[in-house]
Amino acid sequence: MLRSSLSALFMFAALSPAVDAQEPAWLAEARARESGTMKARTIESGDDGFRATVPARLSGKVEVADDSYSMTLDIGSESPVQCEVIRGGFDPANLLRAAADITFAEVEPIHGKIEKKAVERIDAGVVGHSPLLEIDWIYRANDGSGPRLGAIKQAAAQKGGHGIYCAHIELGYSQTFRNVVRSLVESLQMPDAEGHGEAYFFELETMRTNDMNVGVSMIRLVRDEDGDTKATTLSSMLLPAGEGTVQAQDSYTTEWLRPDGSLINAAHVEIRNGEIESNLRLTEQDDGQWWVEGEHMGKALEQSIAADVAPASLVQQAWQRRELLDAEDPVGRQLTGKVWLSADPTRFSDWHARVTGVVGAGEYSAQETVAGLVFDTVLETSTGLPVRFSMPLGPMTLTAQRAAVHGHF
Amino acid sequence: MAVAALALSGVPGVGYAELVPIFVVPTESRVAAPVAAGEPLRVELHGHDIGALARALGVADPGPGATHLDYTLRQYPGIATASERSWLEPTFVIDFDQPAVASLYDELRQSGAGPYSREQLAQFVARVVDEAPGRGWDVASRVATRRDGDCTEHAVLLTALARRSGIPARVVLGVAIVQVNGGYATYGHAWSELREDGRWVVADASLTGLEAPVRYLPLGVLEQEGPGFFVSAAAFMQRWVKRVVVVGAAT
Repeated sequence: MLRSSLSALFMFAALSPAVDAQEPAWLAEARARESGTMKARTIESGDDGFRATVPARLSGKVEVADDSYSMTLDIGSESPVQCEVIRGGFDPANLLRAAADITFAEVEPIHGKIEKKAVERIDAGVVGHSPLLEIDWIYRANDGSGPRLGAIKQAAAQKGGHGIYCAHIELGYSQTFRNVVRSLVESLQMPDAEGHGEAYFFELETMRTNDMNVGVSMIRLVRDEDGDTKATTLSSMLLPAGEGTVQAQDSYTTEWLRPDGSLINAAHVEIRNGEIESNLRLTEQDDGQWWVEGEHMGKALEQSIAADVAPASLVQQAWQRRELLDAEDPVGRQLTGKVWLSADPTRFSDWHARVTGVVGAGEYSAQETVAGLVFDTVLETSTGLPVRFSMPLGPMTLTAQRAAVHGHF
Repeated sequence: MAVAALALSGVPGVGYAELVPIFVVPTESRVAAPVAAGEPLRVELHGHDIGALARALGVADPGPGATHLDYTLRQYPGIATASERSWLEPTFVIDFDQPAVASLYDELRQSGAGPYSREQLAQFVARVVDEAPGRGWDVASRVATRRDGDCTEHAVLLTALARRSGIPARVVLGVAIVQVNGGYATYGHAWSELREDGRWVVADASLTGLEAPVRYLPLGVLEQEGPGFFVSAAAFMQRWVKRVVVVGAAT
C-alpha cells in the first residue's frame, strides 16, 4: 500500500477555472430524493452461478454471459440501477474511469452535448471484507432546447475474485443506490468465488487525502503446497484531476516468499488511466545477482541491480518491526534495511524505521523513511504492520488506515 | 454497461461544486487590490516543514515553532542543485535521443532554423501538446508520441527539445501564484528552466496564452532523471507549501 500509492500522487495539472458552488433550491431538492424503504429481494441467475439479495426489484432477468452477469434493478426512481458482476474481477479504479467515459458518450446522443461535467464525490471503503470505490459525477447536457443537469453515480467492488460494478444515471437517490450496492456486495454468492479461507492473512486499508477517501488497498498472504507464500498487494485509487476528469490507478504487487520470509521473486503491474504504467519482474539469478526486467513508464527495462543484500520482503519487514517492538522499552530503537520499490525499480532503496512513542496497548508510533520519503506510522506489535500511516505530499497529506484484518502470520 | 434510461433535471444556468483537485494549494488573499504584476509580493508560506522550505528557497530558517515562512517574491528566484552537470544530456525522463522526440524536433525545425528562443520553444510545445489533466507524469518520448498532458508533460517535452537544440534545460517543481478574479490562487505546478546568459529563466508551455499575471515559486529541481525520478521528486514534495497567504506589496 505504502509503496504503490506513491506514484498516483504525482499529479499536477494546468490551471482549471473555478466552478460556481452555489446551488439552487430545486437542485438541492432533486439531490435529496430517495426511494422509500424497499423490500429486500433475492435475485438469481438461471444457471445457479449467481445469487444475491438487494432492496430493489429485478427488471427482467439476470442476463448471463460467458464472463459476467448483468441486471437492471428498479429502485423506484425514473432510471434503474444497472449492475454487472464480472468473473475474474477487474481493475476497479480504471473500470470506473472507463465506464464513465462510455456512459458520457452514450448520454450525448440522447440528451445533447455534454457542456460540462464535474466530479462531485469520491469515496472508498470496505463492505465486509470487500474493497469498494465510488464516484459521483454531475453534468450539464444541452440538446439545443436549453441546458439540463444530470448525474451519474458509480461503484466498483471486488469480492471472491470477482468484480461488481453498478451505476445509476439520475440526480438524487444517493443513499438508495449505496444501499443496493452494499447489499449486493454483502450478499453476493457465486459458487466459484475465492474464499478468504485460502488466505492465512488478509488486510484491507482505506487511503485518504485530507478529508476524502480516495483509495483502497488489500494484502493477502496465501501459502502453496511447497510452503512458499504468495504475498499480494492490490491498490486502487481515484483522484480528482480538475476539469471533469479523474486519475485512476490500480496496482498489483506479488511477492513469492520462502518459508523464512525471504524473497524468491516479485512482480509489479500498475495501470494508470487505462494504460500499463509499469509491468516489472524482479528475479534472483543463479549467481545471486538480482535482475529487473519489463516495462516502466512506456520504456523497456532490463538490468541487474547492484546490491550486497537481498531486499526485505513485505513479511520480513513486518517481522523486523515485530522484533523491534518486542523489546522491554522499544521507544528510540531503530532498524535499517533495503527494499525494492516499483517506483524506483533499478535499485534497492534504503529503509529505516525508528520507534518514537507509545500509542496504546500493542501500538507504537514510529517514523519510517523509504528512499528519502518520510512516513509517520502507527505500528502494531502483533503483526508488525502499520495500522495507520501518514505522509505530507505537496499541499495535502496522504493517510492510510486499516479497515479490516483477518488471520495472522 | 449500457445506458438503459436517463433522467435529467432541468433549469438552465446553475452551477455546481467540483471536488478540488489535489494540486490546488489553499490561498488566502489579504490585499484589497492585486499587487501590480512585476511588483514584489509578500506572502506567508505555510508548509509541512518550514525549515526545509526556507532551505529550498535559500532564505533564513525562522526557527523551531514557526508556523510559516515570510517571503517576498521579487525577481525569479534561483534554486541551487546538489549536482554539477551540463543539463544537456539525454536521460530516462528527458530522452531526446529517442525517435519520437527527434521526429518532433524535426517538426520544430520546419518552422525555422535555430537557435530557438524560450518563447518559440514554449509556443511550439503548447501547440503540439493538447491539454489533458491528470496524465500523471510521462517521459518526453511518450509525450512526443501521445501529444497530450498537463504541466509535467509540457515541462518534460520542452526541456527535451531545448536540450536537443543545445540549450541547458531542466524541469522545476514548485507553485504558481496566479492573479485571478481580483485575488490570488495557487497551484502545484511544473515548468522548465532554460539557461540563458548564465542564469536560469522560466519557460512554461502549459501557461502559454494565459493572460493573468503568474508568479513562479520554484521549490525543487528534478535532479534525478532516472527510472526512479518519481521517488526523488516525492521526497522534496514533502517539504511543500500547503497554504499561501498573500499579504500585500513589499515596502
